[in-house]
Amino acid sequence: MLTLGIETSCDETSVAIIEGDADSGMTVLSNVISSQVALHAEAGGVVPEIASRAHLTMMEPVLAQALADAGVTGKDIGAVAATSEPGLIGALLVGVSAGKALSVAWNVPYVAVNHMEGHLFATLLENPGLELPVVVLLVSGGHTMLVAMDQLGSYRVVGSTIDDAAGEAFDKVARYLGLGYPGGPVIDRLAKEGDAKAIRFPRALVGNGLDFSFSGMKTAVINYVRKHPEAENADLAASFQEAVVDVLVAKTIEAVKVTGANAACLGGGVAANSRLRERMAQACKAEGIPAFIPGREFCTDNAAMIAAAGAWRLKADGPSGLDSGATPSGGRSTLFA
Amino acid sequence: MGNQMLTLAITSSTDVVGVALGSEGQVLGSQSVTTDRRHAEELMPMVVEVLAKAGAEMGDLGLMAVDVGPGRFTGLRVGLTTVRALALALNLEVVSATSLELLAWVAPSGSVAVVIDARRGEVFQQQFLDGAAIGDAIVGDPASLGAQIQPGTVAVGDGADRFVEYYPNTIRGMSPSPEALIAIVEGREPLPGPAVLPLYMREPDVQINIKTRHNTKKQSS
Ligand SMILES: [Zn+2]
Repeated sequence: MLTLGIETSCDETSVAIIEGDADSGMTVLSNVISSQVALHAEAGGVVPEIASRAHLTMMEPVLAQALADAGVTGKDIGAVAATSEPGLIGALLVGVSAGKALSVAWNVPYVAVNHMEGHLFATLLENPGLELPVVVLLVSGGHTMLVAMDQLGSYRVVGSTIDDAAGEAFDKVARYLGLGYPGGPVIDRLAKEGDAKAIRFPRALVGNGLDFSFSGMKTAVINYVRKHPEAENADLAASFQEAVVDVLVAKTIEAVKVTGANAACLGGGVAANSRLRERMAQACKAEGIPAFIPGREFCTDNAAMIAAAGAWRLKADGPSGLDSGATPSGGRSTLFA
Repeated sequence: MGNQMLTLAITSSTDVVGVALGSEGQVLGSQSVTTDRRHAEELMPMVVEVLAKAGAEMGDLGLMAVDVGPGRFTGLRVGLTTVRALALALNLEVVSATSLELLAWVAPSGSVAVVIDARRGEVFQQQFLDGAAIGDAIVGDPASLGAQIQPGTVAVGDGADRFVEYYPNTIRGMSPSPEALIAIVEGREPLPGPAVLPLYMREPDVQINIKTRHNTKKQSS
C-alpha cells in the first residue's frame, strides 16, 4: 500500500510517498522538501506567520511534485498521513487541512502523526530489518534527547537537555560570531577550515548521566572571544563543534550500554552535521555497537518519515477522525512513556 | 447526482466556518458553525455531511469556491489549503470572493461599510454602494476608519460588531456566508488552485521563535 505523508510543522514544506510499512519493509517513492530557510534568515529564526504563509504557497506545488516524482496518481494512494504535533500551530494546520482534504477526495484513511515519532521512524526507512530495542539520539534546533525505542510505539526518553537544544546552541554561537543563520550548517562548513583542538571548551557532562547542557558551552565561547578577540572564527567553530559532538557521542554510547540496546541511531536536523556523523560512526565502531545514521534528507524534517510513522500507526491504531486538529509545541503529548 | 455541475463553497476567514453545495447559483445544502479556534477541526466533517445530505459524492463536484479573506490568517489558510487540496485531488478549478464582498452581498442595498475584525485593535474596511465596491479595502484603527463613513451608511461585519462605538449604524451578527459565496461566484472565471491567492492585507509579525521546532524542554507527560 502507498502512504502519502505531509510535513509542515516548522520551516520545511514536505510531501512524500512511500510503499509498505515498518513491518513489511518500506520503499521511498518520492520525498519532496521545500525549505524556507532563506525566508527566515533575516530574522535569524523561524517566524511563525512567515512559515505558515510559505506552507500555504508551497503545499500544492510540493504535493504535485511528490506525485509526479513517484509516478503515481491519487488513485494509487492508500492512506494520507500528516504531522499534527508538535510544532507551530498555524504551520501544522496547513498540512493537517491538506491531508484531511486529500483523504476525503481519494476516499482513504487519514492519520495524524507525531513529528517526533516520525524522526524515530526515519532510521527504519533505510534499515527495515533493524532489530529493536535501539537508542536514537534526536538532535535538532528545538530539542536534544536520547530515546530508547523499545518497540514500535513504545518509547522512553532516557536523557534530554536541561537548557538549550544543541541546534539552538549552534544558532546562538553562529549569531554571536556573526556567521549567519541557521547556525548548524555554517559552523559545520567553517569548522572544516579550522583546528578542532585549538581551544579546549568545557564538555558539560551534567549530573544525571544521560542529560545534556549546552548553554555553558555557548557562554564559554562568548567569554573566550571577549578575552581573545584575535581568535579565528574557523578555530572557534571547529572547537565549539568538537565539544558539542564529544558530548553527544559519549552520551549516546552510554545510553546504548545502560539500556542494553542493539544499536545507536541518529535523527533530527543536527544529525546532518558532518562531524557528528563521522564521530558517531567511529565511536560506535570502536565500541562494537552497530550505528544507523539516516541519509541527510531523512534527518532534517521530511515527509517520508511522517508517511513511515503514519503507515504503522494506521495499522496499530486505525485512522484519525476528520475532526482532529493539531497540537502546538508544549502541548500535551503521550508519545513518550 | 446527474450531470449538474456542483460547486462546493467554503468560507472560514472569520469565526464562522461554512460549507455550501450549489448548482448554477442555487444552494442545494449548507452548514455553518461559529468557532473561535477550531476551523480545521470543524471544516472537513461539515464538507462530508453537506455532500451526504444532498446525496452527492466527491466525484460529482465540478468546481470549488473559496473565501480568500481578509480576516483571520489561520482560518483563511485552513479554507484555502482545503480547497486547493480538493481541487488538486479532483482535478477541479477554483473561483473565489473576498470576505468583504461576501458581507456586502448579504447587506441591504444602499450605502454599506463592511468592517471585519483584523485583531490587534484594527479592522479591515471597504465601502459598497448597492453591492458594488467604491474604493479599495483598507486596514486601520476603527476610530479613524469609522469616522470616514458617510452618515446614513450601514455597517456590517464582526469588526463593526466589536467596535460599535465607532459604527453606531450597524446591523449586528452578519458574517461571510457560504450561501452568498455560491451566488456571488456564479459566472466568475475559474482559476487553477495555486492561482487563487489569500488576501492577508497585512505583513506578518516578525516575532522570532527559534524554540519551536520541537518541544525544547523535557517532556514530562
Ligand atoms: Zn524535526
